[in-house]
Formats: sequence, C-alpha cells, structure tokens
Amino acid sequence: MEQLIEEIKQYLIEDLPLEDITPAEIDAEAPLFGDEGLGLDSIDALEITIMLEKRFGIKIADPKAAKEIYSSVSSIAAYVQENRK
Amino acid sequence: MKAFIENSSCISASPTFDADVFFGESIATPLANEGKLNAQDPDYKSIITDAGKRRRMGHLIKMGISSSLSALKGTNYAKPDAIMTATAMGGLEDTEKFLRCIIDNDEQLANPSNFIQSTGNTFGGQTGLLLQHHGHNVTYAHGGFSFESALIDAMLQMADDEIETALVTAADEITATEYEVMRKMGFWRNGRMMGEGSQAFLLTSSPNEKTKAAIIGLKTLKGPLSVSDLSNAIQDLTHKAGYDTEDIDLMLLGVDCDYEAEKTIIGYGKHQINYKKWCGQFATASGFGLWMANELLSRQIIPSAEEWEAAHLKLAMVYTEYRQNDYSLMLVATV
Repeated sequence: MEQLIEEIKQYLIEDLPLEDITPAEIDAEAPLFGDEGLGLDSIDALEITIMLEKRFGIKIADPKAAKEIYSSVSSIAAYVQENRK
Repeated sequence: MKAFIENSSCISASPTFDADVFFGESIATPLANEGKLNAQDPDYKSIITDAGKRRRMGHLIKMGISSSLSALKGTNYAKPDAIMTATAMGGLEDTEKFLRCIIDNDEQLANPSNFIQSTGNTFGGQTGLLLQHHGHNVTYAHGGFSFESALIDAMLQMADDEIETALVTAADEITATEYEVMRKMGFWRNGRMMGEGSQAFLLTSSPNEKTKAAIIGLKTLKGPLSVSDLSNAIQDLTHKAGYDTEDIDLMLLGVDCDYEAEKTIIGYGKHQINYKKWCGQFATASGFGLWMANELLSRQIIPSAEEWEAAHLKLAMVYTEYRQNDYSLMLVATV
C-alpha cells in the first residue's frame, strides 16, 4: 500500500501538474480539495479521473462516488487497490 | 490613426527582457540550437508569483503574461481600457499534448488542462483574470497578420474615442513538431531559423512626458508582391503620415529569405537593419520589429559592427515578411 501511495503522489505531480511540490510534501491523509491540503479544483478532479484510467485502467463507475474517492491520496490508493485490473 | 507607445516589453531569443542590459552591452546575435532560436526566458516564478495559477500555464502563456505584466509595470495604467492579444498558433505545445493524449488513448481520453491551455485566447483571458480586467479583450489569430490586426483594433478604437489605453501583446512559441512539419515543407532553408517570443505594448491615445515614440501608420499586404507594389505601398503609407520616403531614417527589415537581396530591392531608409537575426522567424515577429523600432528611436541608437552607436533618428519603418505571403509595414516616429 505504501508503494501505491507513493506512486499516486508521483502521478498527481506529473499529471495535474503540481509545480514545486515533492511527493514527501504531500500528506496522504490530507484533503486534496478545498482550502486545506493541496487546494485542488474541479479541473484537477477531471485530471485525476483521466489519471486513474490512463495509469491504472480504472473507470469511476459511479461519478457521485468520486467526491469520496478523491478526498485524499490514501482514499484514491484504497480505491485503486480494490479495483485495479 | 495614431497610437503612442507608453511602455513595452520583449521576451525573445536575445536577452531583451531587460532592455537596458541588452542595449548597454556589445551587439550579439543568438546562436541557433538545431535550427531553432529558443526564447531566453526570464524567471517566471518571480513574475507570476502565484504557484497555483502558474502551474497550468504553458510556455506561450508564461511568455505572454510576463511580457504583458512587464509592459504595465512602472506605468500609471494598472488596468488598460482594452486588451488585444495576437498569436498565430496559440498554445501549440498544449495542443500537441492534447492531441497526442487523444490518439494514444484511442479517442477515449482528453486532458482538460492541455485543452484549456491550447486555445489561442487563453493568454489574453488569463491576463484579464490576473488584472481583474472586465473590458474589451480580444485575441487575433490571423496568421502572419495577427499582431497587425491587434494593433489595428487598438488604433481604430483610439481614433473613435472608444478607448484611451490598450495593452497589445503578441506571442508565439516553438514546438519540435511544428519545426519538423515546416522542415518537411521546405521552409527552413537558406539560413532561416525558427524563433519564438512575446512582445507587449502599452499604447495610449495621447502622449505624456514619458512618451518617446508613436505608431503613425500601418499597412498589411497579401503576397505575392512585385517590387512596384511594395514601393507604392511604402510611398503611400509615408505620404499619408505627412512624410517623404527620404525622411525614413531607419528601415527595420524582417525578411524570411535573402536579406541582402531584399535590402537592395526595398532600398529605402538611411540605415537598414535585419531585425530577425535577433528573434528568428515566426508569425508574430513583427512585434519584435516594433519593439526594436521603439527602443532605437527612444534611445537614439543604431547597431554598428559590434556596438550600439549614437544616431539622430526621427522616423522608422518596420517591414515584415512572413512566408512570402503576409507583408506588413509599420511607420514609427519620435514624439
């Protein structure tokens, strides 16, 4: 799981992209959206959807579930582990 | 039609972002890297300080916004009445990434960020957002006439008293794919070098104590042109501005082919300069020509073999040719 979390951090940095941020600076439990944590926005949510499909072959079946899945790096990693083909 | 140049800024293949340094040192022309004259980028982090806004910006947008902010800096016009941007190709780097993603993923995926950054009007829009500017904001993507079209918009609106100030910015970027496509078309022959950059001008409808030069005439011409077509156009533009062709002190030539041959054909101007040797060839390179005309008139200097030397200049003409198809003439005079 630790390795998957590090992988996802690296993909977020490359794909969103996040300038001047290292994987070590991303708290896996911190919120990705809103004023706390990374402060991502709606375009980033679309980029994460594409990242999951491109990097892991995972499509979010229920778009309403995305809000919870995308809440932190840990929650994304848990979803990937459960649904990875 | 007339527009006064209040301030300007230039990012190019030469170290022009700090104009005092560029004109304060010995004359040097940039060296091409595999046929390309890449821009000498300023430190964008110190200019676009918000990392959240900066992180999605492609090279074109960083160049365009940085030159725009720099042209406004130190003036009394934090928000001009209008913003006109000019780019022939828009965010080409992002366009290529966006298309590559679609192709690689069998048309099932498309990156939203690359798509947003790819459109021609993105840097004008982002400049407006950064300045919290809600006025006229138009982008001209008119090939080799993009910059000229943006200038005409500004000058017409000033002539109609619709606006008093305008920020007019040109920008185009190099990508490896564009270079390769144009190479296959046979464009990069005879020493032609691909360039990129961004030039921004804060224009006003009336001069103040800082104003050194004004654009007093502008003409676009579609090729092919005969020598007499060109000569007639130069004479017509000069006469309409109240001058004779003998009054042209400085001819800044932006030619794509054989400079020596074209210099002879054009013939006008007490001094002639090939300005594209500092910036390379791209669709909005006339922005560099205008920037250099304004600087040389303001500083009263011309290039000699190695140094910038003092000269008495009153009238300059910028002649630009793009792909032997789009031609423009800009007449610039001291105030």
